[in-house]
Amino acid sequence: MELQIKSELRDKTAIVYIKGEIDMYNATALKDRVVSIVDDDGPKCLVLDLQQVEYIDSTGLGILIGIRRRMIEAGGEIRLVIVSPRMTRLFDVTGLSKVFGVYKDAEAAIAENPKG
Amino acid sequence: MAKTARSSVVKLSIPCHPEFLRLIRLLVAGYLSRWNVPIDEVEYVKVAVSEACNSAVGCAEGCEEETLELRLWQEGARIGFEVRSKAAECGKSAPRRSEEEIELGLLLIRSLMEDVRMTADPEKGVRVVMYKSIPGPEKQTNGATKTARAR
Repeated sequence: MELQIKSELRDKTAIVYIKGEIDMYNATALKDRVVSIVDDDGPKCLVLDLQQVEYIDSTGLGILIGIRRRMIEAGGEIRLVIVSPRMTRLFDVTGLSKVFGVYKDAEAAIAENPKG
Repeated sequence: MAKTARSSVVKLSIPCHPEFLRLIRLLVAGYLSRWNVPIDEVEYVKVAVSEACNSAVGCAEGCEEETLELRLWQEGARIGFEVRSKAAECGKSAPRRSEEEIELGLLLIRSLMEDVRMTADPEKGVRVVMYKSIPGPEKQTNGATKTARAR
């Protein structure tokens, strides 16, 4: 399945909905799109909704880490929406579930006030 | 079920390019469908095998003619997977992945698979061998179905 990316801006929070498989082939396209959203909208908080991501590899995880770094350097933060146990396990074994704020849905991620 | 003969090894050779990684995942899922492997485990194997392929593809950056070879076979109560490329042969090998991504990939492979052996040498290319246990013969869908039909 081709990667589908949709986004919306609510106040100072950008929500990016990602659907499909993220691998070495399309991870750069994902990075470019999200970086473009961050640069254009300048959100204080970026929510990446991964509920409909069926597959993610180390390249995709590396992209998420890079985007997180970028957000922190800009004084913002990143939150992830992950619900599937399968995806949760991948984040657990790589230790990334301790690095990212993980939420059950986008509304829960938005509801918590941005840090700072 | 008798030990699988050498001739039943499944082999796939594809260009060492990222656009073929999905094909690898489809093959892995199709191959594992012969056994009653839980769907989540199939997904984890897809991740691990694909990570091994990422290593090979990452080392083959700039090698247009490079191929990636995947072999799958049954070995008793487990399935073996081997990913191999010979990136060094074109003499242009240069990693296309960050150290961070390489570390994450290795972590995933080692966490999700069993008995992992890997070598990555700039001069010899990448070779990863790993295994995954499968349900016992009494639980195997294909065997049970065949038995039922034979009666």
